[in-house]
Amino acid sequence: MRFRRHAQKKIIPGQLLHLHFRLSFRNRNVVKIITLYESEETLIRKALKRDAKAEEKLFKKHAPRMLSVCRNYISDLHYAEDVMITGFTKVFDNLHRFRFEGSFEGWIRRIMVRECIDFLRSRKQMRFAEVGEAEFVSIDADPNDFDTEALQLLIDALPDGYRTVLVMFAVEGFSHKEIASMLGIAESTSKSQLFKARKLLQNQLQTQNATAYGKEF
Amino acid sequence: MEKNFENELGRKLNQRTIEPSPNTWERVKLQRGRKKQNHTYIYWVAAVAVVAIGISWLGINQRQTETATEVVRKEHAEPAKSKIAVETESLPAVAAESNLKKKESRQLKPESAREKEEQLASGLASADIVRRQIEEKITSEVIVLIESGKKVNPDDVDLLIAKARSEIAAGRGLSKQTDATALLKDSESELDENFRSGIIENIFKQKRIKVALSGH
Repeated sequence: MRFRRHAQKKIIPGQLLHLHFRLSFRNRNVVKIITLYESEETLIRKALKRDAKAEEKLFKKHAPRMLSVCRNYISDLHYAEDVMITGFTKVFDNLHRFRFEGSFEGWIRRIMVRECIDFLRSRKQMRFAEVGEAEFVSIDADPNDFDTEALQLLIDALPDGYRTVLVMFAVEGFSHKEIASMLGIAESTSKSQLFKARKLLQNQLQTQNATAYGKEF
Repeated sequence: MEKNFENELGRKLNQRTIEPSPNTWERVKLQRGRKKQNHTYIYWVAAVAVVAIGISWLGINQRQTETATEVVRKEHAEPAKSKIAVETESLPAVAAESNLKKKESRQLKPESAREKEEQLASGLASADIVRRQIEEKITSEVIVLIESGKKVNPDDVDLLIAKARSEIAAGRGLSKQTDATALLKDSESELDENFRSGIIENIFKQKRIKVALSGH
């Protein structure tokens, strides 16, 4: 009995990645195709045809990161999850508007950020309050000294306007012009809010650091 | 230094992932389903509203046409009766016969001709309403006279007609504008009827003469 196995990789761009197993058993050839990976583009194209499984796969792929994005803006995790769900319904409803030009994740992120801003506006939480200059003392504090959860708690403690501008600038990478147009504020307001948010956060990080060292000794 | 701080902050928060609760996908599906249902509900409401408006519009139109035809029929039928009543009493037996023949000829007329007449009458109806009322007055007065036992002379009828004319001339009769062409058509049709009835009468007379000659 002769048994031969040939494994063949066949990559079709933007399609499925298959592994072809050609099993020769006596004179009969049996071809078995195993799907190993479905590209994001394939999933999106399937989702455009209302393929529920493809939609679910896309959701499961991006949901953890998008929940983190929402959590950056909204301190309550349950609310953040609600906003993410609303954001994903918009993503799937407007999927035909995605033109396959940029990254899909970037496109979803923008939808999520807009959804978070709308949520904060609807709850009248976003106020661009000014805090006195005397409170700010330039301190060098490194975010790497803290774990993400502790950092998140410190960001949550910031006023909503500060937090929103800081996250939009530092995490999402928006310019001041973009932030100003998205939030409906002046560019100078965005700059001053970022400056003050940065200082306040650094101050809080320094204080946390000092108390941590104090506990150690 | 400041940029470093923001970069580090961004990098740290971007790396983070938070696992959503297990039923999150179900909630997304539910929310999407609700949205779709809402849309279909709106379409249904719109469709029902359009159908309701259409039906009500048709209903109103139908009512209007029905009331118009009813008015015309009433106005058209009543004076004819009165005319016959007056003529039967006042004119001799030969005239009564001719009237009967007229009736018969009217019954024999094809439906298309009747429809034409009705159309003409509908054109006249608006202008004739007041005139008919005066005619009704006259006929009612004549009927009262007949019932009272008095003989109705042609002079009496002429008197009543003159009275009615004077009323019309005084402006109580024809306050509304009349359709000249419709009136002309009406008079033409009346002339036609008279002509036909005359011919029928002549034929009957000729028959009688023939019968008389053959008898001799």
